[in-house]
Parts: sequence; C-alpha cells; structure tokens
Amino acid sequence: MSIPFVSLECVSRRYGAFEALTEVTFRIDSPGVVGLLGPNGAGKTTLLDVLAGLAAPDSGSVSLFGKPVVSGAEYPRRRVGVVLQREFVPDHVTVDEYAELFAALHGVRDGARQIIAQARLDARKKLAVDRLSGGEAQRLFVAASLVHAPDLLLLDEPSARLDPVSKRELSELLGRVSKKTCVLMATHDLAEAERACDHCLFILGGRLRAQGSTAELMATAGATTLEDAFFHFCSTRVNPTGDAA
Amino acid sequence: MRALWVLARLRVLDVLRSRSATFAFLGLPVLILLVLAAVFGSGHPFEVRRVTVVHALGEPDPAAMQLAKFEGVRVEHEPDREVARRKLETRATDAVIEREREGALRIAVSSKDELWGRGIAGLFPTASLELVKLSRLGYVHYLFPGLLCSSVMFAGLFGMGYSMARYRRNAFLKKLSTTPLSRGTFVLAQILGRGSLVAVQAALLLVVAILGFGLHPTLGGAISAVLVCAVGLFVFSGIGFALASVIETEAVVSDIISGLTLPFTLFSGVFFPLDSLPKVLAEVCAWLPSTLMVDAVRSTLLYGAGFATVGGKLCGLLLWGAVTFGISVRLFRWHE
Repeated sequence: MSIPFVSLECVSRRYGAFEALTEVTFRIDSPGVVGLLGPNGAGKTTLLDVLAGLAAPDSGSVSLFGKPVVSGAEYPRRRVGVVLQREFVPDHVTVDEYAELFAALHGVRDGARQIIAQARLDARKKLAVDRLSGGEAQRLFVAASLVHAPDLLLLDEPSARLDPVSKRELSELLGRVSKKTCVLMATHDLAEAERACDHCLFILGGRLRAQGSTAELMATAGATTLEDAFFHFCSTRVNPTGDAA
Repeated sequence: MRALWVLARLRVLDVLRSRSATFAFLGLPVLILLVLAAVFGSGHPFEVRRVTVVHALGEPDPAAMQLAKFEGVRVEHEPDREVARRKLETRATDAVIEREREGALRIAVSSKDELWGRGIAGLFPTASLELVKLSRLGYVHYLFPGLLCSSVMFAGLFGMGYSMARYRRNAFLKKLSTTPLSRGTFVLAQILGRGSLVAVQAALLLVVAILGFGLHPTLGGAISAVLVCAVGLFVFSGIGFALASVIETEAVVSDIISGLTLPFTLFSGVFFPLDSLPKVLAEVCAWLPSTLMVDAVRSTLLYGAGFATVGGKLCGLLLWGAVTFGISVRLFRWHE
C-alpha cells in the first residue's frame, strides 16, 4: 500500500463556539489535482490552514507523507507549497525582489530566475508587484509556491482574480505540475474545477459531504456538469445543517 | 447637501467606533494636560539651578552642603574637572565650583549669569568668580544625544511595532510562516534591516552636528555612543515586537506607541535633566530604557566617558533588552 500524500482522520476545528470543521476524514494517495468545493464559509480555508500547519485541529489526526503532523513538531515545510486566498506584498517590492525572497526562503539557488520564468514576467521583473495585473500577480504567487518543487501544493482560490485566458493557463500549469505533485485547490470556479480536477471534495458547514473522482461524483449526483453536482451535494436549501448525505 | 452630512457623520463615527482612536483623539490630550500639570505644577524645568562641585567621591564638600540648603538649587559632585567644565558648556549645569590648592573656591559661571555667580560667590568670603564666555550652541550639544536616542526609539517602536502589526494583519507573516523560515532568522533580519537604517541616520546626524554645530566627540566616545544606540534599538524593537504581538491592528499599535513616546521623550532627560522632575518621578524615570540610553550616549559623546563609566547603564539597557525580547518572542504570532 502506497504512502498517502494527505490523510485526515476525524479532524475537527473550532473557533470559539463556531465549529469550522467537524470530523473530516479523507486521504489522497496519488499525485493529481483535487478540488475542494463548497460555498462561502463551508470550511475550505480552515481545512487548508490545518493542512498547511497554520491551524492545529482540536481533535482528530493529520498525516502528511505518512507522518503525523503534531502540534509543535517539525512540519514538512520543504515539501509543501502554499498560495493563500489573500496574498500581500509589502509596498514597492518588485517582482524580482519577491522572487529572490521566496527562492532564498526555500533555499533554491537560481530560484528567482525560475520563478520569473515560470510566471512569464521577465519583461516586468523590475516592476513593483502591486503594479501587476491580478492575473500576473497570481502567476507570480503560484510560481513562487512551486520554486522548491513541493510534493503537496495547497491553493486557496487561485483563479479568483484571473481572466479566462489566465484561468486556462493556470489549469494547464497545474496539469503539468500534478504529474508529480498533489495539488489541493479550493475554488468557486466549477467550470475550471471540472476541467482541472481529477478528484473533488465537497464540503458544507464544516462537514465533508462527498468525495471521489470528478466523474464518479457527477455520476452519483446524476449531473451532467460539476456545477449541477455542486448543487446536489452542497445546496443548503436541501440540507441546511450540512449533515453528510 | 445630504451627502455632506452623511460623509461628515461617517467621518465622526470612524473615530468614535474605535476605542483606541476615541482615546487618542479625546482622552490623550486631557491625560497629557493632567500629567504635565502634575509634573510641572510647581514650576517649569529650567527654574532649577544646578551647581557642579568638582570633588572626589567621599566626604561631601562643605560648600556643596551649604548650597544644597537653598530651595531650587541642585548640587552634584563630579570628580573630573574637564567633565564639569563640559557640563557648563552644554548648559547641563549652571555653575562649577572647584577648590584651588590653597583651599580657596573658584566659581565658574556663564558670562550671561554674572548676577547668579556673584550671589554664590557672596556666600564664601574666599571665593573668586570666573565668568566664562560659553558657545551659544552649548544647549544644542546638550540636546543632540537626546535627539539621537529619540530617533533610535522611534525606529524601534514604529519600525517594528507598526510594521509587524501591518504584516500580520495583511497575512504577510502568515505567508512567511508557510516557508521554512525560522522565527529567529525573521526577527534578526528585521533588526539588521532597521539597524542599518538607524546607523546611517545616526551617522548623518553626527556629521551635521559636527560640521554645523561644532560638536567634537572623541573617536572612542562616538564608537561607544553607536554601540549604546545599537543596544537601545534592540530594547525598543523588543517593545515594538511585544506590542505588535498582543495588539491586532496597526492603527491601535500606532496610537499606543504615540502615547508611549511622550513620557519616553519628556521624562528621559532629552530636553532637561531629570532632577527637574518631582523626586519620586525622577527616581522612577531614571530606570526607563530611554533615560539609560540618553544618559549613556550623552556621557560618551559629550563628556568622553568610556564603557567603564557607563557600564551600569549599559547593563541596565541589556537587562531591558533581555526582558522585552523574552516577552516578544513568547508572545510572537505569525498570524491572527
């Protein structure tokens, strides 16, 4: 049996009285793009934070690459890349400075050149990052998160600010990367998810509603598109408590 | 017209909805007035007249004991004649009294203070009065170490506190925490960056003070002052980090730092010696990190003191640094 990239067992996470995740269990055994789908406030970002080592679960266990992630223990940062939902770059920092920073943080020699090439920003590398278009900036953030060739890439709504061309390019990039890397991507763009994701996780009210290959999930829902499947699994009108189907 | 009222109302609510902004806008000026009234209620700080008696440590000089009985006169002992004269030059003292070989007193005052000098000389039958023509820039020399330390203090508090709160609020620290970057490397990089800027700033101030205002520190004094400033930056960066660790928004951090800089600047000997303050307050303020830094820099830069002389103050500063950094490392959070 292969070592899973990600394994969660009954993971729960609370913020005060609010239960953001409730007994979430799943595993990802092979490289590929996995879509994390659900409405706003469903728990997608919390789940990514738990996987990124930014939030500890209140109960349950998380394992990455076969090793449990224990609070306070060494997190495998060198094997994980993260793109946050809201990326911030200090004022006036240029593209090549940003690339140099993340190459240095991950200890990748010549990484700055790789990041700029990957993001296709050679012509704009002297420009401040806050002067880039939304799509260009997002390409830079994704490229920076890939500089150390991570085994697990966590993306929180990476296509939120992208135009259709950039979305297509991102899908193609993730397709290439996912040959060796496990990509877990939270997104609201269901057309993009249908195109890019091999597997999907549907989450609602902090509970995992369904998981499986994209084709299987659509078949289970009797849907012809992932959007229809989304409404089948995540419609709060059907099941406002978010209890598992 | 309605838009005018709606916009004005929103502007007012913008302040009133934030407790810290309301305090900074309405409470802080009243608090400052009350504090200043309590501190200076019995007179302004320059009313106190200082007399420096050149005298080795040990038995107090009888002349000093006689002068200390007068209200509004502060007497201090200084073993080094040159330092005492330099204090007169920089207006840190108003008169220098030294005993000549025959036991007679020699009283040196500014030529502008002849009347005051005659008053002191009149108390001692054998005293001679020396009127000294002082440089008009002497008080600028007195102010310079304090201003230098204020810039270090601002760099530490604002440079660290405000920036860290902003980075955390904008999730930049959260982003950094997803990389293999260690906490220690991050903190050291911030101090190194700020330290480099402060070093350039201090050098620039020093050059302007030397060329423009005739300050003439010794090389050893200048190096010692830079080292004291480096320790001071460490202390105030620690306070800035600690504040940014417990306070959520950069606006509140900014308000609190503004509130802190007032006592740090006013009651640390930047503008006038601490003995102008009420006794209890002066004793408390003597232990502020800003006071320790200002005193040590002034001693090294103006009076040529070495590390041995300012060692106690430097140890005090290092202790502050250890405490503030210990607290900030304990409280530091990468994200909200």
